[in-house]
Formats: sequence, structure tokens, C-alpha cells
Amino acid sequence: MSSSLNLEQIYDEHAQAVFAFVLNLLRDENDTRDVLQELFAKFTRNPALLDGVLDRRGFLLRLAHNQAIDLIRRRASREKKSEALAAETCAIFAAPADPDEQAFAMALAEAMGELPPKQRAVTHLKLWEKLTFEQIAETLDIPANTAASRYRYALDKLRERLRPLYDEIRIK
Amino acid sequence: MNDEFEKHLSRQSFRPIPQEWRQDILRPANAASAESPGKPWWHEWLWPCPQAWGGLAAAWALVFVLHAAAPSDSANVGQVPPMNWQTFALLQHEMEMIAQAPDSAPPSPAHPPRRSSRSVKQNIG
Repeated sequence: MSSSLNLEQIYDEHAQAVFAFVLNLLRDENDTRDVLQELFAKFTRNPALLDGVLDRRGFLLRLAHNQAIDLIRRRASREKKSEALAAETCAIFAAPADPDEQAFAMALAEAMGELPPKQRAVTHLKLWEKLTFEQIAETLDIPANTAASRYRYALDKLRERLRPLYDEIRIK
Repeated sequence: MNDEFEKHLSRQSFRPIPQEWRQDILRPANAASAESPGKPWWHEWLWPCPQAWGGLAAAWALVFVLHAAAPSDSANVGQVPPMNWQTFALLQHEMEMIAQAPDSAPPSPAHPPRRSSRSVKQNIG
């Protein structure tokens, strides 16, 4: 089994999920690409990194999260504007055909950008990776209770922010 | 996921990863893996702290070099330095003198000779 075959297989199976997670965290496509490149370069430098790993997706998300957090810290210390960058509107969701759904998706992207990165990471893994709080805790190296409370805080903020748009969509 | 709001959020799909990224990301990775040959078996073993292992190896090499360079004491044990011709001639002359003496057997003292009268006095005093 060659390492190049492994890398391609890993990419095809998990790159989309890692891309969405990192893009949601960083809100910057170039930075997201840098994280992905560094992630796969890491596997090239150390092919044994995935030996014995049962949950490859979780492992990749964990590595990507660590790199993204490092990048956020470097960016914050360098430019002191990470929150401003995070709050920037970034096309992270696919554009739905329905205009109301499209507006909802844009509002959701904005609302996610306003969340602190820690809450954003938990929310992403819960909503879009369908992980349990125990799995999220393992991925982000935090207690499960912390993951659950971060998710509740984040969901309350999203609900408050998106409720009007959501109600409109429901009425239709 | 408890309520409809959460379900609605989770139904939002993320935009796909740009297709050209696959080549851009995998090409350098594949090139790097092709360039770097497989690591030898001892690499994993040494990996936890290569500096420490290197230092230990250097220390052993130094000990070996010093040991090889130092003169060996055990090799000199039992070796008698070669006698020069003057000593040999003197010794031969003494042996001839002894052989020519009327009583060649040396007197055997019953008691060890007194070392000196001065030391006896000092001991008494």
C-alpha cells in the first residue's frame, strides 16, 4: 500500500469535512487552504501518524482544529483583528435555489462568524459532523460538559439572531 | 438534535472544496513522499531524543579513542628493560672477581645488619 494512495484516499474521504470545519473557523479561503496543505504535508513527513487511528475523520478534524487555532492566535497577535476577520461575511454555505433559504444561509454564516471560535468549533462538530458531546470533547480536547455548555450558549445566540428569518421560512 | 431549528441548521450544506485544490495539495505531498526514501529501522528507535543518543554515541567514541591511544600498562608487566653493554660488562667483571676469590660463597648473616648507630640512639632517646 503506497503512501500516495493513502493520501488520495484520505483526501477523497475527509477533505470536504475538514475544509468546511476549517473554513467555518477561519473564515478565510487562503488560510483554509494553508491548513489543509500543512495537514497533508504532515502526513507525508510522518506516514505512521495515522497508524492505529480508528476514527480518521475525528483525528483529522482534531489536527486541523489545532492548526486553525494556532493560525487564529498568530493572526490575532499579528493584526489584532481576528474578531473583525471572523465576523466578515464569508461564503461558507452552498447557495440554495430558494431566495429565502439563501438569505437564511447568509445570515447563518454571519451569525456563525460572530460566535467565539471555541463555540463555533463545537457548534460545527455538533450540527454538521453529527458528533456526540463525548466525541466533540475528544476531538477538541475539552471536557464533555464544556462542549455541551458551549453548544447551548452558541445555539441560543443563533436562535435569537435567526429566529425572524426562520419563522418566515416556516410560515411559507 | 432536539428541535426543528437545530435540524434546519444542520440541513445547510457547506460549499464544496474547490476541485483544483486536490491536485495542488496532493502533488507536493506526493512529490515529497517520492523524494524521501523510507526511514531506516533504527530511526523509530532513536526518534524520541536523537540528541541524547548522539551525545551518548560521541561519548563512547571518545572513550574508545582515548583507550586506544593510551599506553597499555598490562603489556609492560613482566618486561625487563634491555641491558646495555656497560652494565653487562660490569656485571661480568664482578662475577669474575667473585669466582677468583678464595671463598666464593658469600657470608650469610645471622641477623640483618644494623642500619646505623644514629637511628638506634634516636630510638633509645
